[in-house]
Amino acid sequence: MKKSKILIVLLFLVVAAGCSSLKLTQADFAWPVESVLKIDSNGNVSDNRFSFSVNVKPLFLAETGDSLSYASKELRIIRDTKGYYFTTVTGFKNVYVFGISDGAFKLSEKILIDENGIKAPVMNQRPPFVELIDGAKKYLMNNEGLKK
Amino acid sequence: MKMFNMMKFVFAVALLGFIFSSAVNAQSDREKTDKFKSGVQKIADAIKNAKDVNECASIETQIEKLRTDSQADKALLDKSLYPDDFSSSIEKLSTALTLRKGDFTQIKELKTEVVGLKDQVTDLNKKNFDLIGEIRVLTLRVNKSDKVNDSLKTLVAQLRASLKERDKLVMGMVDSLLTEFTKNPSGLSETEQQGMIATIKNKNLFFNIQRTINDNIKFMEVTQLKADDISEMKKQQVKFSKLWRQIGPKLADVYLNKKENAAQVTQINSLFQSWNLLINNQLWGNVDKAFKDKNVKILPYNNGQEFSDNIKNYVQDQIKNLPTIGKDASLKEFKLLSDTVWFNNVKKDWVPVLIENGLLTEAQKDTVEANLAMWKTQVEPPFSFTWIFLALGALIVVVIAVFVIMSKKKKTL
Repeated sequence: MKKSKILIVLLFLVVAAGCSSLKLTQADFAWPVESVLKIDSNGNVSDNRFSFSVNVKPLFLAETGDSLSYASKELRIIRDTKGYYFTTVTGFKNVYVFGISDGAFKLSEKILIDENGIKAPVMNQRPPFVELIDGAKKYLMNNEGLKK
Repeated sequence: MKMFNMMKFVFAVALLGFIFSSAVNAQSDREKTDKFKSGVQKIADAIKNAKDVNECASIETQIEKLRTDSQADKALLDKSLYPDDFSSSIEKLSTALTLRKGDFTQIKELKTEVVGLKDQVTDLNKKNFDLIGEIRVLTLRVNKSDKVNDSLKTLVAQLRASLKERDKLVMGMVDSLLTEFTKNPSGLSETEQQGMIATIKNKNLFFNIQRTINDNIKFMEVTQLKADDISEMKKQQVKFSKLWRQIGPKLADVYLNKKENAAQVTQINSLFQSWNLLINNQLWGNVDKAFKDKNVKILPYNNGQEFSDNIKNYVQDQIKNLPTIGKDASLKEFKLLSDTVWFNNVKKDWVPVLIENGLLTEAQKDTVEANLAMWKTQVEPPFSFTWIFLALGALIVVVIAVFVIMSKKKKTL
């Protein structure tokens, strides 16, 4: 009886392993430098090098409460090694971390940097982190937040 | 205690210095990339606009400085300078600089060559001027003695050869200029335009082109050219004119802000037109002379269509007037026009040149000949076979007679 139980468990494990989804590891999605993208009159940004475009009105609505406050602003965006997108704009209090889900940028984390707004943000790739520089201040971030 | 305070002060200064230097060193990777890209672009522009070898040497130093200054960021630049990388960007600059240096070496060689060409053209200009003068004088005395006629022929031959040589040199100058333009199909930069203007001035190009056309025009005016000579000159004119049409509009762009030179370009355009018109007129003039010399009065014409129409009208008038002037007189007129003027002179010497240069079409030539054939049927009766039958009959009679006589002689023997 005991033997047959072990056999069933083993069989279950083999079937479970065979049914698990395919995964390719050792991936690196990191962009070497951040992209600084002009926001057009419709609230869209597009990046020729990394071939994507997105509408950022909802981001401004979330940050400022005004979806039209993007006029003449530039969006800074960089992708880390795990594939998360880190984005912010001069004057924003937060850095927004997005993942990709079903054809959309889906918020993964909102990292508060400065209650008074980030004055001159730049982001660098510092694997496994993304570095944010604001004047003399430097921060290291990942998709879970600021490095403690 | 004092020592302790001193140490505290040094430590505070060091800490401040560290914080300050961190702040200064805090630089965006993107900024570094953009700075490098902008440095590359500046040097690339400097290479394009370099005026001489010395400037190239200074650019070489700039490339080296960019390489050294950016070496620390090589890893970043290799990734961020897509599709290039750090080494290929520097390599591209070095290659462009080497090519530019090569241009200057070539320009130096060409300048030496141009000085030589310029002297040759100047000598030929003078020689041609003297020859044209001498020919003018001799033309007035022509037919006065065989010696004068021979001298004139010799001088015309000399002038023809000399003009050809000079034309070739000037065309070479224009051609080399065209090569400069085709090297830069997107248009010349300000510096390149200035270089082009200097080259044109140095070669005395506009003067030489004008002189070439004018001398050819004068040559046509002072000499009586044969069909072959005009044909050759027409070919020369077409070739030179084609070359000028390629470069003329480009030069007009270069001289957009220099009214005097722009006027010269326009003047040369009209000189080419005059030259072309003169050759065409001389061709038709020679054809006309062939008719006039034999007193065949065709109405004036200036092109192939008019020529063919006027001959057609002339022939139709002749056919219409046949009852008035009589068949014999008309036949005489026909033979003069058809045999003497058309087939022995115009068709043989001038029609090939006219057709080759698009002044007369095959169809227009055929119209002339069809009309002549029509006239012929009216004035010359068609060939009669009666005379052939009569001659054959006579021959048969003679053969039979000889045969009968021979057989009779055999019998008597």
